Amino acid sequence: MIKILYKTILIPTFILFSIFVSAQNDVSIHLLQSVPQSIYTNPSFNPEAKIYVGIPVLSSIYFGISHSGFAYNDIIKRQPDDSLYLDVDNMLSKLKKNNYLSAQYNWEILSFGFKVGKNYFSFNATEKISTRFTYPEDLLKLAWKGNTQFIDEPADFSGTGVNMTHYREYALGYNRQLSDKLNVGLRGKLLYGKANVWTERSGITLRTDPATFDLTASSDIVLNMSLPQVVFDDSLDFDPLGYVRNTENTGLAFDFGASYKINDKFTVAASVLDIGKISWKSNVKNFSSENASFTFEGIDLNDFFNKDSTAKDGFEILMDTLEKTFDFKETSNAYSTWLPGIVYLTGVYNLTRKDKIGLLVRADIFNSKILPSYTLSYNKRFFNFLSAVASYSIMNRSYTNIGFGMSLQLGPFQIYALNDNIYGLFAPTKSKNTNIHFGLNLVFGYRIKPPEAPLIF
Amino acid sequence: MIYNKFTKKLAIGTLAGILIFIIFLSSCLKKEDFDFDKLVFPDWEPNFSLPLVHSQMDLRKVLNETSFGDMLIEDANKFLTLVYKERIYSQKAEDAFYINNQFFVQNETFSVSGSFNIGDSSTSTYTENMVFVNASNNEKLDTLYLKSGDLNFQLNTNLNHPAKIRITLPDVRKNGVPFSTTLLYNVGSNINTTLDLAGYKMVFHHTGGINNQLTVFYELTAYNTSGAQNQSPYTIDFSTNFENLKYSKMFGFLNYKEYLFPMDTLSIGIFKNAWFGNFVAMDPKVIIKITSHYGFPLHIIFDHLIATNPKSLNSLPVFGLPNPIAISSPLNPGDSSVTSVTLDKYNSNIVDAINILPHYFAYLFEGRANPTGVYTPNFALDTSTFNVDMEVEIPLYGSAWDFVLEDTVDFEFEKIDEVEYALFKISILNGFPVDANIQIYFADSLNNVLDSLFGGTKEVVLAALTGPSPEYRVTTPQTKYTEAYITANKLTNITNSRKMFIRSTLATTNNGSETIKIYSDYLIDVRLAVQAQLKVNLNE
Repeated sequence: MIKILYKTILIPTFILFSIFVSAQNDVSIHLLQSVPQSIYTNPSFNPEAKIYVGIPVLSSIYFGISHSGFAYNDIIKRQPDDSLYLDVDNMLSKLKKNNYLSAQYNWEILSFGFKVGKNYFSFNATEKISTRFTYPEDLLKLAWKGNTQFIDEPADFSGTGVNMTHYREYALGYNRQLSDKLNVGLRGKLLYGKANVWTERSGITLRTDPATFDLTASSDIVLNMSLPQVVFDDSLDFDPLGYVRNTENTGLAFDFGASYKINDKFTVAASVLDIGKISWKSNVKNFSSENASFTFEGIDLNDFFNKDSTAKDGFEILMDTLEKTFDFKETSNAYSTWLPGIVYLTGVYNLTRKDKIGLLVRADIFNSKILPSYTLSYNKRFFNFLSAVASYSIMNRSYTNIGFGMSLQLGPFQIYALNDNIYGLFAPTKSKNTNIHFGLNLVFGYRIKPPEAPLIF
Repeated sequence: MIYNKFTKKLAIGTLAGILIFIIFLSSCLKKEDFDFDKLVFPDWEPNFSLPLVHSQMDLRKVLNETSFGDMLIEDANKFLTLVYKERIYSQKAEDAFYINNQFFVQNETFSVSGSFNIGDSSTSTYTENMVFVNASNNEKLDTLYLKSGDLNFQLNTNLNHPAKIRITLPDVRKNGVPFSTTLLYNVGSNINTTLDLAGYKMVFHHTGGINNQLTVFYELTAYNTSGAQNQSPYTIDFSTNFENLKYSKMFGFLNYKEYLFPMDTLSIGIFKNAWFGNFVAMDPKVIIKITSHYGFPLHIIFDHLIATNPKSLNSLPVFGLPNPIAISSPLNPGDSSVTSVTLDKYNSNIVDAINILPHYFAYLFEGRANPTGVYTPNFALDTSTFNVDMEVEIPLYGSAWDFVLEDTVDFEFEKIDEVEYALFKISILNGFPVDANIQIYFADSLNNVLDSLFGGTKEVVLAALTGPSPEYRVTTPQTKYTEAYITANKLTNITNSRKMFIRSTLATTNNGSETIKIYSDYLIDVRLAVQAQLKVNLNE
C-alpha cells in the first residue's frame, strides 16, 4: 500500500513538479523597446512607432511557467547503464522553505497607441490568467523522511495553497516627456474578474512531542473562491458566454513609470506595475478553519474495545473528532484580492547607436514576499528592421537563464518573439522556468532613435 | 571607432554563443531521460515517531479487558469489592415432584333379573377406591390442583344391549361440582374415550391405612331396544386411567428425599492467571444463599468446599460451614424463604483460602427434603423453586507481594520486513497503589523461549503513594517511563514465535508492606508511543 502510494501519487507528483520549469518573469519584452508592448513593463517608455495597432488576438501572446523548487534532472538522474534513478534526497536539497509552481498566460485581444506631440497614448484589452501553487519544503521532507526529524521544531506547512486568477484588463496608458531627461507614464486599468481561487491564509503546522510523540496539528486556513456556478453545482452546465461576459467582479489597477537620462550614454528607469485589486462578488464561496488544533495522543483503548456493538470504535471516534476540529465553515462573503505587484529597475548604457547593455532588477511582490530576479542584457539593432536582445538572468533560484528575443520589421508589419530562458525551451529537464512571448503588430512612423535620444534604450 | 569594433565583436560573440548554446542544449535532451520503464527507485527510509495508545482506565475497565468476567461493586465511599457469584443449584418443583400415570382396571359383572323384554331397562352401580401409587417419592397426597391432565376411560363388555354408563368422581371437583360424565354404549363397539381434567381439584382420602385414595362411581343402565335375548350375566371391565397429570398446587407430605449434586466449581477470575505469591485479603467472605419456595423443611450438607490453585498444586478445604444447613420454608404457597450462611475471617479459614490464590472453589453438596421423615404438611407450586447461590466476596483491601501473574497467549506476528528497528516508549501514570514488573517472552510452539521484550524484568508500573488508615487513600500517583528497543533481529525472533508468555509480578506499595485499599476512582494512565525506522524497497 505504502509502495503503491509512493509510486502512483507522490513520486509522479515530484516529477510533474520538476517538468514545470520556467519563469513568468517576462523580462525580455522590457528590454526590446522596438516592440510597442514593452510599454506594459514601464508606462514611461516611448514606443519607436508613432502609431501602432496590434493585430487583434495576435498582437501579444505570452505563456510562462516556473518552478522555484527543483528541475527534472534534480530528481531524475541518468546512470551510466542508462537507467534512471529517482534522487529524492537531491530533490529535497534544492527546496527552500516555500516553493512555487506557477504559470501565467496573457492574451492580448486588442491594442493600439499613438503619439501626440510629447504625449503618447495607448490602449489594450488583455485576458490574463495566472496560477500559483505554493508548497512547503517540510511537506515533502515529512513524506520522504518521516516526522522524527521534526521533533525539536514543528513541521511548518504555512503558506501552502493555491492562487488562481483570471481577469480581463482594459488599460489606458499615457506618458509624457516632461523634459529632455525625464519621461513619466501612467496606465490605468479597469479589471473584470472571471474566476479566482485565493488562499488567504494557510497556517498549518505539525508538532511532534519529544517525550510522548503526540502529534499536534494546527491550522488556520481561509480559502476564497469565485468560480462559475457549475463548479459548485454539478447539475448545471457550463455557460462559456456567461463566463466571459461576467462583469460582477470589478477592479482597478495602476502602473507608474519614469525614465531618466543621466547623460548621453546612461539612462535609468523605474516602474511599479499592477497596483490595484479586484473585488470578487459573483458565486463566492469562503471556506475557513480558523485556529483549529488537534492533538493525537494515540488510540484510547476504552473506545477501541468498547463492548457496545452499537457504539463507534476508536478509529471512528478519532475521525469524527478530526472532522469536528477541522470542520471547514462555508460562507459566501465578497472579498478582494490585490494583484501581484511588479517593480522594474533598469539601467542602460548605450555603447553605440545600435548597441546597448543593460541591467534589470525585477521584483515580484506576492503574498507579502518579494521574489527578485536580476538580468544583464545586450541589445543589438541590425540594419533598420531587425532588433535583437540577449540576456542572462538569475531568477527562481536558477542561474542558467539565457534569454533571447528579436523583432522584425517588414514594412508596417512587426513580428516579434521573446524568451527569457532558452535553456528551458531546449533543455527542460535541466531548467526550472521558461516562457514564450510573441505577437504581430502594425507600426507606423517607426524610426530608430539616435543614441543621444533621451529616455529610451 | 573603438566602440564599433567592440560592439561588432560583442554582437557576433553573443550570436555565436547563443547558437552554440542552443546546439549544446539540443544535444542534452534525450529520450532516454524519459524512459520511466528504467526508473530505479531509491529505498524509502523514513523515521516515524507516533503515539499509539493513550488510555485512562479504572479497575473496572482493566478487569473487563482481561475478560475475567469479574463483577465489581462499590460502596458509598467508592471502595471496591470483587464479587464472584454463581447459582450452583436450581430446581423447579414440577421437575422434583411429579405424578406418574395411574392405571386402574375393575372387572365386574352385569346381570338382569327376571324378564327383560323389549322396552325394558336395567341399572347396576359400582363403587371403587382407586389408590394412587408410584408417585415420584411415594408422596402422601392430600390435594392436587390440576392445571392439565387426562382421564382415559375404557369399557369392554359382552353386553348385547345398548347402555348408558355414568362415571362420577366425587373427590374430583371443579368449582365444587364433582366430575361426572355419561357415555353411550352401542352393541359391538367398546368405549375408549379421554376426558380433560384441567382445572379440577383432587382431594385424596387416606382410610384404612391406605393413602392417596380416590373414589369412583359407575352406573350402568342397559336398554332392550331390539328384543335381544337376555344372556346374563355379562362381563363388564372398567379401565380408568389418569394420564399426564400436571399440578399447579400440591398439598400433602412429600416424604423424605435426598438430592445428590455433582461436584462443580466457582471460578475466581482475578486469580485465573496467578502463579504464586502472597495475596492477603483482609476481609474475604463466602456466602451460601438458599432460596426456597417449597413448603417443607430442607437440609443442605456440604461434603466439600475446597479452594484450589491448580498451578501451584495447592488446595485448602474451607471449614466453618454449619453442617447441615437447615433451610427454612415459607408459610404460604407462593412465598419464599431465604437462608444465608456466611463464612468470614471470624468463623472460617477463608482468609487462608484466598491466600493460596485459588483459581476456583470446588464444591460438592447434597440436599434433603423432610429430613426427619416425620409427617408435616407440605406444599409446593409447580413454579416453586429451590435455588442455591454461592458468592465469593474479596474486598480490595489488603496487601500483596511477589504476586506473579502469568498468561500464555497464542501468538502469530506477521513480520513487517520494512521495519529496521522500533523503539517503544511506555509512560504510565499510576493511580493504583500497586507496583508491576513485567516481562514478555516469545516462544516457539514447543515453548522454547526465543526472545524477550526487555533485557530483564522491567518495572513498568510504579505504585502510587497512600495516605493513613482507615481509608488508605492514594495521595500521590507515580509515573514510570520505560523503553523497549526492538531490533531487526528481535523482530525476526518475534516473527518465529508462536506463543507469548506474559509474566507480571505485582506488589502493593512498598513491596506489600503497606495495607492498601482500591477505590473506583483510581485511574491508570497508559501511554504507548513508537519510533520506527523503516526501509521500503520501492522497486519490488
